[in-house]
Formats: sequence, structure tokens, C-alpha cells
Amino acid sequence: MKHGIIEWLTSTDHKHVGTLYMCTSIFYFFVAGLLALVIRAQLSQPEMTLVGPHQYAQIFTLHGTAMIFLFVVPFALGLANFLIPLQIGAPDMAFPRLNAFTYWLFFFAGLTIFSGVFVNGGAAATGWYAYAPLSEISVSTGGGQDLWIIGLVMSSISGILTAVNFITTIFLYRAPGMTMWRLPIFTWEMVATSLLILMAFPSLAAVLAMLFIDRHFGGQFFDATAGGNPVLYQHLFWFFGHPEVYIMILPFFGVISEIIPVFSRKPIFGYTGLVLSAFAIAGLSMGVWAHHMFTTGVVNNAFFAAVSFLIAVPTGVKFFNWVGTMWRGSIVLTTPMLFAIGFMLNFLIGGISGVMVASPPIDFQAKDSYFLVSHFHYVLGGGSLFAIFGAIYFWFPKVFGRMLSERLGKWCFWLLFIGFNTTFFVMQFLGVMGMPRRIYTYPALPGWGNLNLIASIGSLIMALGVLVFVWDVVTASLSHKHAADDPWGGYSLEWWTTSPPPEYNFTSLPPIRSERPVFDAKHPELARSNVS
Amino acid sequence: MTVGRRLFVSSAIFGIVIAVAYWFSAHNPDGTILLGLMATALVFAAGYMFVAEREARLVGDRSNASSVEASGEQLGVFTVASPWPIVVAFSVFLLLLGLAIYPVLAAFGLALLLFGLFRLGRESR
Repeated sequence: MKHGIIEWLTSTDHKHVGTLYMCTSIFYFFVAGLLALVIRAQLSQPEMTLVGPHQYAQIFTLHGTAMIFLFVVPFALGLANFLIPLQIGAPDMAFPRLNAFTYWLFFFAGLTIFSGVFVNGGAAATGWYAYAPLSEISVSTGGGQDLWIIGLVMSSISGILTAVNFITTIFLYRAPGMTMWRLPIFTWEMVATSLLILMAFPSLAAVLAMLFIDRHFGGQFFDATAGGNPVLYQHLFWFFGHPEVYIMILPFFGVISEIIPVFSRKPIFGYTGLVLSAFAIAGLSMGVWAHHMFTTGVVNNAFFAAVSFLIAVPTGVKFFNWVGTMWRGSIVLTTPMLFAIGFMLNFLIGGISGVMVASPPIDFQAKDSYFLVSHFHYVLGGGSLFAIFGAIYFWFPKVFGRMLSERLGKWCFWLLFIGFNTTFFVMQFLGVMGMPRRIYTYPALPGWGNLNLIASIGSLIMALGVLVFVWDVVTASLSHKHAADDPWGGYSLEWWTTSPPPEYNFTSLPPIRSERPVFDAKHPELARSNVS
Repeated sequence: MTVGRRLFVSSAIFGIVIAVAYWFSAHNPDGTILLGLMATALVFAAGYMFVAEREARLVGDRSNASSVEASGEQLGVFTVASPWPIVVAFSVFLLLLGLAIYPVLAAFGLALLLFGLFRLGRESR
């Protein structure tokens, strides 16, 4: 296979498109990470003047936007692009050209959002949610806000089309014998994620289009003085925004559900429960959006609190299944397994603090404080980020045909794990002490300076972990040692083909009689169809 | 009923139930309309599944099927390379950017978009 630039620009092969998605999203992770380091440097001491208030607002807006829209979601879509056809035994996605189009739309969306840095007034400075009227042209006059809106509209169109492609591929292109109840859990999670994208992303595109009309065509959707309703913006935004949290986590539940059984040397415990819980989470997540709006005083807090509490049940089912899978397994603590366990520990903290703030009385206290910053970073950083690193270490040999170093991988894990918890655990205390989020500096109140300094040191430790990862990738790429086709003893079909897979993926397929066809083919004496 | 049908039918029922429950508990038109639209979309998708699956005979749905049975079956046409996806994406970028900063750019983007879609359509035949 040739790898010229033209080939990458014009390729419609799902493996190329998936790799492009993942590499681009990792680039934005580095950019967003550097912005986070500036934020932590600014907050490391009281009364710091490294950046001014407007610059700070731009930095945290770009940090949040990049992490959510340009890193976590696109990485999940890229991984799914690479894996879904392989896991279901298909030669490609159902719509290969559409697939390439969605990647390039995402690529230009990222450029658009960041090009705001170069226009008058700078980039968008209204947070990743861009509440109206703060984002209206009367307040945010710069072109950066427009570029942000355009970039996100492109990103949401890209996401919707990708979801259509995933669902079509999974329903119609499964290999003979790959019934829906034999799909790998990752693919199942992507069915649930795609449904969520189809239900939630149109709301984002709609609210941003309305905001754009307000800004440039005399619309008054969100202008209270002209009869508009700013709370409508919040309804429409969070109708997308909360499901978005699950769009960012369900694929990684799938990743964890792939890694844990392989390194516990057992089949997944409670396959059906895992699948049904994914759909329960997806469904319930469509009915919780206004728990972000408890303090507006115009939503039914009891309804949204009750549904928010309910989501903990299917999430708990997943934890039960993962622990059940590890129970009495022959656990091998490889780097992907360490990241999977790290994911579980961090996500548990994020999940429990999520149940706390789903309670309106607690939310009224924690709203807009660093407690919330800690909560959502434990969910998305401790959760999604650790799963992403687990996925990279697990599937890197399949994607690139090279093995990452186990020694460096473990260093990377421990630095990230220690750094992450050092940074974000103390933020819970800062939040309880009353430190508000989104402030660019703070007075020297008792305890605030020391805890912020600890958080900033933690972010440096994380940065060191990322550097170790970069070094690992560079040395692996320069190495001439090829990875085996199935270096981990994997279960699903991607481990049946070569590393990296050829065009159209497979030259042969094993009989598919369970959700572990590769294991069944390699260990026929233990195949479930033979045992039962 | 196949898994696909069950999935979309149960999602549609869930959408209707939660929209109705929300209206009776919150009496909030904004959220009810959002949930109602979501339920409508799911009902549409569930209905389509019924129509589409009536004629579908998927080898992937048969638990004892082997890859030999599918040999020679036309799955689809899989292109290896095409320049038009990136051209169409770039034209959408120009169109939207032009709307914000320079209408001439938007017009150019629209023209390029139409040309790109035309070429993409011809290539897809």
C-alpha cells in the first residue's frame, strides 16, 4: 500500500479515514493540553498576571471546545471508523465517500474554530456553551464568535452523517453469522452512540443557526428586550449538551468492555446486560438536559433530578459487569489494562460526584464552582481520556503494525494517573471552599493558593506523562519490529486479519458462532458452541 | 421481530412516553416540543425499519451462515479513492465562512459545492 499525501487526501478507505480522524484529534488534544497548562500557570498563584481576563476567557473557551468537539468525540468516531467494519467482518463502511467527506468537514471545522485567534477581537470567549445573550453580537462583537459558530455547525453536520453511516454499516454489512447478538460490545456501544448523535446534534445545529441569525440577520430569538427568550438557548443547547456527555463516554465504555475480557482471559460477564444498559443510558440521557438549568428557576427540578439519578443504575450495571469479568480471571496488567482500571477508578469518582450534583439542593451550592470543574474532568478526563490512552495502547499494533513499549506505557499511565488525580481531586475542596470557575485570577484567601499550586503541579506531571507517550510513539514508529497480527490474544474479528489490515480488510473469515469468533477459531476445544 | 426493528420500535415508544410524561410533569412547551420532535423522528425511523426489513434477507442475520454462502454476493461498490469528498467539504467551509465574513466567498463556495456534488454524483453511478 502506498502512503503518499495524495492517497491520504483522496482515500475513502475506512482505515485511512479512521486514522486521519484519530491523528487529527490527538493533535487537537496537544493544543488543548497546552492551553490547559497556560490556565494552570495563571491560576498557580493568587493575583497572577500571566494573561488578562479576555485572553483567559478565550483560552478556556478554546480549551473546552477543542477537548470536546475536536478531541474526544472525533477520536471516538475515528476509532469506530477504523474498527466497526473490521469487527463485523465488512470490507468497508456503507458509504465510503460520505465517510471521507465527514472527516474533511471535521478537519475544516477545527481550522475554522481556531482561525478565530487571528481575527479582530480574538477567538470566541464565551465558553464551550456560548450562552446567549453573552454570545449575541451586542456583547461578543468579534468575528471569532462567528467562526466558532460556523465551525461547530460543520462539526455537527459531520457527526450526524457519520452516525448515519455507522448505523447503516452495522445493520446491513455484517458478515455471515455475525448476528446482532454476536456484535462486539464496542460496536454495540457505537449503535447507541450513533442514535444519540442523531437525536442530539440537530438541536446543536439548530440553536447555533438561530444564534447566527440573531447576530447577522436581525433575529431576536434570544433577545429578551425584543421578546426573545435567552432560556430557550439553554434548553436547545443542553438538549444536545447532556447527551453529548454520553456521546463522549459510551464509545469508551465499549473500549473498556473490549480490553477487560482480553486481559482477564475470560469472556465478558453479562453481555446482554452491557448492551441493554448502553441503550438505557442513551435513552435516559435524552431526558436530563435541564439538570444544567436547575438554578434558572424555570424548569421542573424534580423531574430532571429523578431521571438524572436513574442514569446511575445502568451505569452501575456496567461497573458490575466489568468487575464480574475480572473476578477470578487471570488478570494480566498490561498497559491497556492499567488504563482500563484507571478509567474505572476515575470515572467512579466522576459518577458519584455526578449523582451528588443531580440533587438540586447540592447543585445550587456547587453551581459554577470548582466542584463542577472537578466533576466533569473526572468524567471526561479521568474517564474518556484514560480510555483513549487504553485504546491507543491496545489497537496501535493493529492500526500501524508496530508495538508500543510496555515499559514506557506504564510510565505514561502512572504519570497521567498521579498527575490527573493531583490536579483534579483538590479542585473538589476548592469548590467546597467557594472558588468560582471561569475566573482568571483570585485573591489570596486561606487555602486557595496552596490547593491551586498543587493542581498546577499535577498538570505538569500529566504533561510529563504525555511527553513519555509521544516518545513512545516516535520510537515505535522508527522501529523496524513489526507487530504480530494478534499480539494480545484478542477475541473480535479485527485480530483475525493482518496488522495493519489489507485493503478490504480480510482474505478469509473464521466461522462466527459467538461474540468471540477469533478466540473460538484459535481454541476450538473451548469454543462456547462446543462447550455448551 | 428482528433486533433492528425491536431497537427502533422500543426507542420510539420510549420517546413518546418521555415526551408525554414531561408535558404532564413540567407543563413546559420548549422541552415538550424537543422531546416530541425526537419521538417523531424515532417513529419515522421505526416505520422505515418495518418497510425496509420486509424485503431484506441479510446473511448476517442467520446464526449458522458461513462466509462461503456469501461468496459472489454483491455487497456494494467500494471506491478506494476520490478527490470529491475533500472538495465538497472545502466548499461547505467556504460557503459558511462567506456567510459570516464575505458574501462573494459564500457564492464561490456554493458554486464549488454544486460542482463538487455533481461530480460526486457522476462518480457514484
